[in-house]
Amino acid sequence: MKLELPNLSRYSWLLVLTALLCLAGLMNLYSISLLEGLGAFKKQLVWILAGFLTVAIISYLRPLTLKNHSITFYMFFLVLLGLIFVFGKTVSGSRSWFQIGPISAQPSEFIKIGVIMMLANYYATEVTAKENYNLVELLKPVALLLVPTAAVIAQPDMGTAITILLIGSSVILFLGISRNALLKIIIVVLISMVPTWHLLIKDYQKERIYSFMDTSTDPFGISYNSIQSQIAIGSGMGYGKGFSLGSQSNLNFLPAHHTDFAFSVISEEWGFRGAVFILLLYFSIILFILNTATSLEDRFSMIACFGIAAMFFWHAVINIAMITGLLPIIGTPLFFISYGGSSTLTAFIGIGIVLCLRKK
Amino acid sequence: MGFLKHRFTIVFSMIVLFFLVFSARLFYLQIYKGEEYRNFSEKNILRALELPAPRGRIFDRNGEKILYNKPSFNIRIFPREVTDVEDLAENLAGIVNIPEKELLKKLREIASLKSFYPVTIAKDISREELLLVEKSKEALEGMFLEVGHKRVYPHGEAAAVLLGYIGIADAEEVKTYSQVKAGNKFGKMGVEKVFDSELRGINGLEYVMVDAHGKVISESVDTLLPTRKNREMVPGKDIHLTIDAQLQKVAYEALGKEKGAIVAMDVKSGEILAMVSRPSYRPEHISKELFPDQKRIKKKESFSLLNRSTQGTYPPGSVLKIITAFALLEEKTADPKSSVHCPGHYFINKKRFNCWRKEGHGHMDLHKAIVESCDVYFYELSLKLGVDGLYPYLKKFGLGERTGIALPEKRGVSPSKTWKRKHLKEPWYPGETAILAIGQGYVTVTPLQISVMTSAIANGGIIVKPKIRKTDEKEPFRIPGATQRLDAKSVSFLKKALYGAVNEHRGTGIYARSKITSVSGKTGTAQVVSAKFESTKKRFQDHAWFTSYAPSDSAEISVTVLVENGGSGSVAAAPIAKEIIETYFRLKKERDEARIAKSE
Repeated sequence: MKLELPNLSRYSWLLVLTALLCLAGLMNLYSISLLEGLGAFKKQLVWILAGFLTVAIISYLRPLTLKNHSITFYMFFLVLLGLIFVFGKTVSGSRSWFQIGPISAQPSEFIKIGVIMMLANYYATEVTAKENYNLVELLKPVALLLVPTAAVIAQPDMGTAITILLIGSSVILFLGISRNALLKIIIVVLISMVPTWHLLIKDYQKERIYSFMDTSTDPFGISYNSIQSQIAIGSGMGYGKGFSLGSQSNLNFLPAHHTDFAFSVISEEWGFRGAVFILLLYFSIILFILNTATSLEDRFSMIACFGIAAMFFWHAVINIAMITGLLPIIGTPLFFISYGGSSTLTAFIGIGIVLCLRKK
Repeated sequence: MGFLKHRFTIVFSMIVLFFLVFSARLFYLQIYKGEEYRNFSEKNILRALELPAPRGRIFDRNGEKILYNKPSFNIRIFPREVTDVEDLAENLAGIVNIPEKELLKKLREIASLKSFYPVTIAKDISREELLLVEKSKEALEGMFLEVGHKRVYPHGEAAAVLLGYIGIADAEEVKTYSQVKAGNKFGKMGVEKVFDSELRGINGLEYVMVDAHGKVISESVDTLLPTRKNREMVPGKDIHLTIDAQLQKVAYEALGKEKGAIVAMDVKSGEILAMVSRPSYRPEHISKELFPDQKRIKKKESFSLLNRSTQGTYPPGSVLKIITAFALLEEKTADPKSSVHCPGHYFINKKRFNCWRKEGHGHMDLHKAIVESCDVYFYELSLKLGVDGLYPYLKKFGLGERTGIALPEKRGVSPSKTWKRKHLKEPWYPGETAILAIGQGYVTVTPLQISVMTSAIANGGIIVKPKIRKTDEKEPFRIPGATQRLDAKSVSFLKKALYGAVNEHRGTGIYARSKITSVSGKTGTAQVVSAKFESTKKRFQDHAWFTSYAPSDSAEISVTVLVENGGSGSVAAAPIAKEIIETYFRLKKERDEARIAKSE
């Protein structure tokens, strides 16, 4: 394994943006810790430090090393996803956690990176890039995507499964699908929707979808969280209620306020300006990574970079749409802002990969 | 690779677009609607007020209210608004008569709900408690006084069993009836249960925002919950029963302290004029409790919640001879002249069967056998008829089947060879036919079934379906399977015999003889235990029956009386029937006079 020094001066913007978001996330955890203690804050601090270390390590690797080891990474987490059904721990209905001592890990987060790298690896093996791929050529990448997705659905963790599916589909779609294949895929998806609805979607998930479409079914049960989140965000107004003064979050009206709804707390305490600032930071990271992708000549590097951008993008879209009431409640964290070891490390691995790939 | 460049451009624009959409959404929530949300989050007091629908009232046949509502005050708590449970429990304990410990436990439970919906903590508080609540309103977090509706039972125990009672719907009931929500009132017994869906109404629902003192500051919550609509309250429907409240009262009192049942019925329409079951209970005792010790109530009073008129099954004793006699005539086993000598006992396979009159009745024909209720006459002829000959007539009169009244009902047992083989896995013995003929043995009936039987004789042979609810239908219903009109000749023979039982010198029902109207009837004295078992204990005493109708020639009303362990039907039951019949005609006369006086 040969190491190459990354050109830090040229990529420092990405690290600065990441650090700023992490700082905002930590501040937010500190702000809501007044009632619940500093446990989450301290743990997240450890994750972030570990994250930067990970970035440092990955960024010293050669892009070719990454490419050659993409299958190792993919298979490792796929096996873990399988093992979870034997050794996994069930948290709020989903069997998606490994508990090793004080650390609990969620392989379904890491597999996102695996999927991205495997897809990049597959598409990069072609000597010349095609404009569109036909059905036969799509068989392998689609299978690479669907196998881990199915495992995550079985946990069952719909939120994570949807994110994986969106990330992988973005890559496949970006690299092109022939008109003929696209048509067939759409038909298959439409046909499989009926059995999916009846077999795969759990009752509580259906209820969430119903309740999103019509809040009158049970405004205080299922969509209660959505309403409370909107109240939290809205009540922040222009300038926010101030550090740790978010009554919604501190009085516990807002659920999961240090994980999935962390951005609601920021919006409540820092108002519109704070929320838009975070939004701006976040979308800057996405644009920065995407811009990196356009500049890369190596096909593997370009596709992997695009995939990482897609990962950040979909996490942001689903999380923010959910907490602002534009989508039903799908449990998806906002990288760097939401508390959580696995998702934080996954995000850092993504950043590390981008830094690694930018080397000539 | 120009196409990739093109795709990157699309992706870039998409990302920027999403950024703009989210910024716009944040702008909408925080700037455009920010003020409202801020307001809401500061109070965060949204209340879902339930406006309890008054249950429908219940009227008797003359329009008299026999069950209605009166406002009552309930203390309710909004779980979301409680911040200091201990404080609230302490303040409440000083007001309502519930131990602080119990209150604290309940309030803790409530507060953990974090719901916008209120939970009742004390129901139907007294005037003194109400004053105290009003005085210390400010100290009671999340409390509000609900004006509810309390059931009022003007006739108390007399109609309690018939009307039934309401309670809080249990989990099972919530599951079964989609419109019933947890915590709603629900008819548990009697008329309240049977007509619950109509009586219930629909509770209104109103969403309001209130300030910290519980004052409504905004009646519109459209911003927050655009699809949330208030629900109009719909009061329950009134129900008109066929009961005559005055007659009901008299009938209940006529039973005195005895256990038993009385059914008074309009013989032509099947309308129930009075339906009494004793012991009864005080209706207020059942509906009041909030920390419901329902189990305790059930244990103590369960036997009195039963409507003995429709749910009590008893051996009919000699009142069944009406059907036996009818069967003998129809099957031509006996004609009115058939004569049997009664020495006071009868042997079947060397087994001695006694007549109730030990010294015997002497020579008996069918008329006399009914009038004097001679057992030996029926022993001998029923053996000729056989159980297969008798059973179809039990069916014809509706025994062993529900009468179809809109009340919970038992079937009773109408035994036959098939029945015995199926249930007891034994063959039928001739002696069992003999005791079935006099209404003993396996046969059991409800007082209502006997009332239907007697009404059929009284109205000239039509088995009517008894009705508890007044409807506009003129045509009386008939019990399915017993639709054909009974033979007129046999019916008129029985009418004469039943007249004789009350009005002839040796009749068993002479205590029902009335000076103001002509009464026909049949007594019954049903053994509870074997005759050999002699005891003076009340619970081993015979059940006393008397079933009757009046006036004898153009019958209007039938009255069936059952006194549990009352002894002889002649002494214990007949006078009660007489009192009810006389009351009926007295009330009729008074009402007619009042009507005439009014129209003049």
